[in-house]
Amino acid sequence: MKRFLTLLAVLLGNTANADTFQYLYIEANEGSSSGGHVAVQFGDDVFHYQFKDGLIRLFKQDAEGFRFDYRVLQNRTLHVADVEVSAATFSLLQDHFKLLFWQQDRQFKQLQAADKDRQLLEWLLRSHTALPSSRQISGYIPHPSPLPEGEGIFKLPGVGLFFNDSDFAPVASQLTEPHGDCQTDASAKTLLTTLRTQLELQHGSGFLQRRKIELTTVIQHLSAVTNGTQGYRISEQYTDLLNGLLALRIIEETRPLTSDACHTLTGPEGHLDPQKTERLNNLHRQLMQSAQNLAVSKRPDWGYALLVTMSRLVALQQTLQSGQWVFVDDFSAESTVIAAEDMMRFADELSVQRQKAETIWRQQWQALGNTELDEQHYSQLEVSANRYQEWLASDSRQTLRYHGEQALPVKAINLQTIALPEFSSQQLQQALHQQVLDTQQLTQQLEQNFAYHLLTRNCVTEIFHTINQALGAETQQRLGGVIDEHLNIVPFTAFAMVKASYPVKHITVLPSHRQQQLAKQYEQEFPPLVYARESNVVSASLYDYNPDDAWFVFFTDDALLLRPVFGAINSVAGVGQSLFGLVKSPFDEGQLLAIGMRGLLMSLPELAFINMRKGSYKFLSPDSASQENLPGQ
Amino acid sequence: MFVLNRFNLLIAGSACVLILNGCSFSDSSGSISDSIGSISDSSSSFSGGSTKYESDVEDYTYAYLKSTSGTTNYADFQNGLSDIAKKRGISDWESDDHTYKGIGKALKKARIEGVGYETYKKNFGDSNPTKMKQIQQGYDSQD
Repeated sequence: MKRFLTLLAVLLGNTANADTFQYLYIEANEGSSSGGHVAVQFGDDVFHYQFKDGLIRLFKQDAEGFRFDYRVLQNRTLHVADVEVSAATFSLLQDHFKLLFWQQDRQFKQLQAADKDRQLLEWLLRSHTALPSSRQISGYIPHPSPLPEGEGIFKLPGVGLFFNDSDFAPVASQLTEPHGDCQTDASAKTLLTTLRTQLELQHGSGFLQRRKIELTTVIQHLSAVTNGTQGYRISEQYTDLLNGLLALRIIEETRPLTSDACHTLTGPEGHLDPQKTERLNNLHRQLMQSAQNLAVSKRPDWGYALLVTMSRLVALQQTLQSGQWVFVDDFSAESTVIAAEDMMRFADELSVQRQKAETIWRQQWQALGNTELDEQHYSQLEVSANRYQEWLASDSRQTLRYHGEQALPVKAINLQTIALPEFSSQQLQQALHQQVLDTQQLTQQLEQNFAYHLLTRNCVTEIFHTINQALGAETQQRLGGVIDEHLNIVPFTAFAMVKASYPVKHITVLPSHRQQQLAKQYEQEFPPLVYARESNVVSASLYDYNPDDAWFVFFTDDALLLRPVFGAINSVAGVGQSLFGLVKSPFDEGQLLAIGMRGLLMSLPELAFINMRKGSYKFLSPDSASQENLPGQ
Repeated sequence: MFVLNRFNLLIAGSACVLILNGCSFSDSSGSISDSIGSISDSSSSFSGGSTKYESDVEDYTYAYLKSTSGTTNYADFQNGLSDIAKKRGISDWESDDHTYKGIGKALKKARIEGVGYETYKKNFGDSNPTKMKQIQQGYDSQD
């Protein structure tokens, strides 16, 4: 009775100024979060805890993307509980999740930066012993050689748009230059000469030389002593300064983009009428002003920003001069590449994506005349153009860079010894020692605060812990109940607890992609025939084998009574893949064996009527999913 | 009886398997972001981008103010801003009004007033009248 009255009070109190957040329970499937998953949604943002490197971390995702990923690609059914609370409670919860997210994000970045400091100091220490003494404290060196052991450890983001690693190689043939058809000599010369002239008009002749000396001096006098575990780290300072130095050198030398840093969209698409040309000219002026501002900016990473801005200016200049679209290549070096074999296997799904990429690119450049173009808008245009261009290039290459387009290009080269800080070996050793201690301290702090624990700190416990922490002593009053994070550790039972404890106004079940499609087939065809055909991977029309899934024969999400039998057969498939993997293990480092074992493990719960095997989809796009299945529905 | 015990064991074992594999691994966050990329590339996604950017700046600044005691390290703060702007396709965030409006909103949310507010406004705005005015606009918009 008391509980009923409390709930009534919460509901009545909420009606005046109510707001709704969602508690999401995601059903189990093979792969990550095979025991199910939970999340909370405030407006467009979904917050959820994920396991990473032994720690449990809070992530913030766009709701649309989250639902598409779990419901369509991972093929899981979502259960959404609308929890109605007062606007004040909603704000308290939302603000607390946001606050925790950004605070955690900063803490993890500090650890990354501390680790980079350690790597840099080790690298500098090695460079001390590797370089002849005459070059150890030499400041700016025009064309020095990279240190062999330094390669690959550190990257200079954005510099790769104008320089190749081979530009710094002591012998011309030491490193092979990448090939491409990006020819921007004339555009770069025109543009960068103008930029140089304007900078010298504003800041006096010899500006570039003065600024370079200034930066080199700062590099030489960098302090190896770290300022505790927080702040602007030496590795960040050093790379920022080198980026700045190289950006100025590009202006000075009027360097063109590297041969693989841009591409031209040829063909009838992308015709520039006077209105579109006017938009591009306006953007060109904006970016030119930005480049001038960035060259004297006090922000630490102005060098990278200037590199990106100059590369886009060169591409724009080339576009305006030639009348054909030229874009900077914005794919990251770590982009996923689809091999020729998969291109053929998933030809149907991929053709939908290709069509979509083309449509989006066309829509975007055609809409150009309707709106003023700013940098953010141009970034989206650049991403779309890159995606479409990648599809065109895949025709001859037979492979495709899939995902990995960046909102800002980051093409990087290895760290080069164009200027070195004036550290003695002793200073470096002391700093390195301190750095190791700082990194250990940060690691310990993070482990203490975020260590994953199966029963006491997982994705479920942390959601409730965060809710209870946000509302404190008022949790009962504001939510009608307190869910103990120590007692609710399993996604499925925790959802039942939410329904029983919180003021849940409505429950929505969003069927997985396959279930949604299956329901349609049941409506349109003879149900027993549909069941017989779609129950197994051999004859199913709604599923093509995804190599990310371990071998299985039967889908068990819609086979309650037969689940143990199907599970037994799926287990046999798992055993079969494991044995095959065992034979193959000398050639694939045991990868297939591991997948087979996982398949076996995932099929065992099915013997006890617990559904696991649903299959997943690798290359579905929202267009190939049905309208009802689109995220957010 | 023996069969029943074995069945219970099976269920217990299965439950263990489920729990042991519980919680999403952060690998999936990659695919989530990628999915967003494949979803949001419609012309409609241009609208609202600036609002989300401003909101991220506000939330980041607020968290920074709440978790920083003593002297603010502005270079460190600005690096965080660069990361946010980078994800939204903005390289020159100093020329973007939304950056400073977001900072102003965060100062208001953190209930910073008087001399403290003026100091932050001057330092975050780099003593630039235009930037300081935008911070003020963001601050006032939260009334």
